[in-house]
Amino acid sequence: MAEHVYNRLAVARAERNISRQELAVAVDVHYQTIGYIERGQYNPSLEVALRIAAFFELPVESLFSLQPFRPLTETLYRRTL
Amino acid sequence: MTDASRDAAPTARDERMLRLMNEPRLHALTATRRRRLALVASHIGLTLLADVALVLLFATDGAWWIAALALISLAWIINTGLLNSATRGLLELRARMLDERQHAERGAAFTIAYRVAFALKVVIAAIALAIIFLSEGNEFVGLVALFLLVQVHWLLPLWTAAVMTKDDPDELAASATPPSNVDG
Repeated sequence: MAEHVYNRLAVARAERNISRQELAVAVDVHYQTIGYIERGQYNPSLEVALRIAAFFELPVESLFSLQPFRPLTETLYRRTL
Repeated sequence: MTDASRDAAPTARDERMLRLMNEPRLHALTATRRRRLALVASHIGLTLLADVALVLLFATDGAWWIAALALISLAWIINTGLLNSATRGLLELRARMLDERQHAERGAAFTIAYRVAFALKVVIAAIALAIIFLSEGNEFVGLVALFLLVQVHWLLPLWTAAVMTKDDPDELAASATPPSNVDG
């Protein structure tokens, strides 16, 4: 029944220069949980996903999706490898 | 950490245990799957060794088995602490100190441990009862087997949780500090 939820957490975190530890404190989860989510080993609850989206001030669907995300280069510059 | 049933404010003990379970100086000892499996194996060995020492203490007049038991117990306590550190206190911390992913992992550890333990308990209980009822004068052995059954029931979730724990990425292994994110 488990469905894979794709996410851009690592990208968003790198872009804002935020460590897993800092994000974990901000959204009130254990620091390991951020790593689990980024690696796709754990799908966060809607509540945690919304808290993460609120922290980054982004719509939740820009961070989490049931479909694989397109690479940023393709999205921004319409280039494919 | 936001479930209404887990909303009670953490006590000083909760905070102390959280820091202890997330002590970064211990993480190197449990950082790889191989090390965690070795710790689980040694914990099982020490538990059995302590059982043997306990049986010999009562079965013989050798009072020095108390000293052996004390030494084994000391090693067992240290080993238990390392297993708890490996799981970041998954089974040791109170529910309000865990987040949703840790609650899910605790549930998974208990479920797997329960299934394995049930099969083991059936086998051990059958052997123990057979010894007690079919052989004369061996009731003590049967009681020891039943004692082992209780120990398996008690410790298997901890061993399972330690085996299930995944490696930290390099970034965390190198720089992890205790979390300060718990508010109930």
